[in-house]
Amino acid sequence: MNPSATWHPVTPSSEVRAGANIVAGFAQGQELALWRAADGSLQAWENRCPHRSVRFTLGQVTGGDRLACAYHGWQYEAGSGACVRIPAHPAMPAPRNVCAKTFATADAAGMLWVRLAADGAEAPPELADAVPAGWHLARTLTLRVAAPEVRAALAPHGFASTGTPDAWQGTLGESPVAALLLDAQPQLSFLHLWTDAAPGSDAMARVHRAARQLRSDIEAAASH
Amino acid sequence: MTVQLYDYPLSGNCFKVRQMLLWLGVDHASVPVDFHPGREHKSARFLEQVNPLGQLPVIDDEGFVLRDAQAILVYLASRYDDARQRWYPADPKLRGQVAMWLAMADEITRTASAARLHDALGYTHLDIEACRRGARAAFRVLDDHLAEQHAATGLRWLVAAHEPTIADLACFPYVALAGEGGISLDEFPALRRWVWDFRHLPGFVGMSGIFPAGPA
Amino acid sequence: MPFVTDDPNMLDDWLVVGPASGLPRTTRLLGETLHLHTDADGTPHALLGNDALTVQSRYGFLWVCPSGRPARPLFAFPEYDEPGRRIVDCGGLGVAVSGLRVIENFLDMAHFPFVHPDYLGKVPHTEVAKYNVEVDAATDEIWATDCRFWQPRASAAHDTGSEVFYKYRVMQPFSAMLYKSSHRPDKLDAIGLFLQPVDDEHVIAHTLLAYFDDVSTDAELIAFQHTIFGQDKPILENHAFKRMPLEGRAETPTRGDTTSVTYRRWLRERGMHFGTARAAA
Repeated sequence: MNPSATWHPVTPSSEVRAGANIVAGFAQGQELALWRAADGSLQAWENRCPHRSVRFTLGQVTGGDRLACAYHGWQYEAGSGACVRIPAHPAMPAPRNVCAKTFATADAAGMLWVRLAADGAEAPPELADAVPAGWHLARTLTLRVAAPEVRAALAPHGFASTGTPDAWQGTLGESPVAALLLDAQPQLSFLHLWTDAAPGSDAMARVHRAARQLRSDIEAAASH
Repeated sequence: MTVQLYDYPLSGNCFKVRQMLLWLGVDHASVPVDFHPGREHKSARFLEQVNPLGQLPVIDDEGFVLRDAQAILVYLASRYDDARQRWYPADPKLRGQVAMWLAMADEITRTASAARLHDALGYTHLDIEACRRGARAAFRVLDDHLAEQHAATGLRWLVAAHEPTIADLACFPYVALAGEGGISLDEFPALRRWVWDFRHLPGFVGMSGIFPAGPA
Repeated sequence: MPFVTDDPNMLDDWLVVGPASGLPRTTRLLGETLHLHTDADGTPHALLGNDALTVQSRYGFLWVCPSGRPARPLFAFPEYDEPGRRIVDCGGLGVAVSGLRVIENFLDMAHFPFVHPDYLGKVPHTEVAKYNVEVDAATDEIWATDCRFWQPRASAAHDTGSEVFYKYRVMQPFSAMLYKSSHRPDKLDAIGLFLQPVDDEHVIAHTLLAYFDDVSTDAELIAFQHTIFGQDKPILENHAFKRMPLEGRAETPTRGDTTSVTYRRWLRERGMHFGTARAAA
């Protein structure tokens, strides 16, 4: 069993900015809140505050290394996910047993990867080869189709599976493309498309048009 | 100089005008309209004296009365924006793009706002599935545009400029409120990023249902 | 068999189905569509298909007992008929979450500085002082008293404010009341929240004011209530699970959550299962 099968490419690395934003992520139906502390360290937490289960993605990164829930302002620290402050009781030491559920993360090949299993293999070195060096992100394409159906459709569209599961190589609009597939939700898949076409070039514009056509084709086929 | 605004707190279209006035530094006075449950905007008096279409927002700028959120944004930005004209740029191509996205804002109102009226305000006569389908189609166009433009140019607003324009403000609220109409933004990552970026603009105050960025 | 639940807490109680005016109309209750109308003499009727349901008109609303065997009378609301009070129906707003979470939010003060900044609270005035919660043995209603919270003054430009005193009351799993100081020094304004249970994960939230206020217009009062409720809505609709867990350790209360802890225990003790999550933590 290839250990990299358990690492999900949830979003391009550049989407999650240090100490700034919280991005919603998805992997096999698990909802994630993705953020970085001010020092750049990546956090992938279950998108649910342990107090009253409100989604962390409504909250804010605060103090550089904490995520504050939007509901009651409870603050959780980067790394451990432990609750460190409850504003309703500012003088009280934070409760020891209140913790965000954290997942292991990896930053490789310009992508953020998340492992859902609590115990599992470390991020394998092959993840770094999932996207050829020097390539550019064309876009993340989302398809209203289950991941197995996307996989089945990629080969007929000229994509070949590489050594890394769910990493595919092919051509869109005459440019070579690396496509990383994310099984996001039962009827939702993400395809992160990387290409050697330069940003702003006609070649990149053709990749974009071909990507939309690929999406149309796969969704139309899936609905029959 | 104070602009009167016929206003309702849960209206995204009214929010557009409140936020624009704030960004332009123009004082306003809200005239509360009992949109729900009173349906005051459909009363004979309102139709005769304020807006024959029975809609909000309407402004009265010292006797100059204008309806329609997008038209109001054009007027306010044209009259009160500083010399840079960043909100409604004069360049013909940019202005054409702004107009294109203002038309999209109408489509968003027709679909996503209608879905929210159905779910939140009990407008059960609306075809909710058609509204949601239409909203998803419009959001996909927006998401494609934002994703492709960002990859090509690094720009992150609707119009190919370095700062947001009234095009972004016009399209923003009912996208941000889409969940209240049962439309998920999960499948639109570029649109979600745009919503986050817009909420974090300096001076963004939001509305009930859209949180402003809190203190860091 | 009709209705999406067999929970007697719902079937044997009086459930609000909207205002007593604006008839005839249809509405949704416990997964079914009801037809509401009145006779010429004002007698209300509620029909599920061809079956007439037990219905009464009270406090400006219609209330239906789905089983026809109400376990108790509708709760008392003495402020409704009190001379000098102004009664304002702020309308029904749909919310996509279990009504139990809506009531719990209504009872909570700790969220004021975060969800209602510059209106009901403001950072850094976030502390929730200890308050008192009891279940009234005679009525089986929950009362939270001695509640107080720092509220900013109307002008957001200055960090000034004062303590406002609150009382809370839970009459039914889906009905609660909030009392706060009014324009009259000896009287409290009352805000009633009556939730119409559409199904386990959807309600229509009806808010009724019984205020001492001769100054504000209806539109102003309604605008304020909708401003506040509209701020709660994205929170309520973004619980990772919509139904309230009454067991397990998925959710952890803190000391300031006394009313909500009491409310959840009170629901457990009466065997509530409508609107609850029964999966393990």
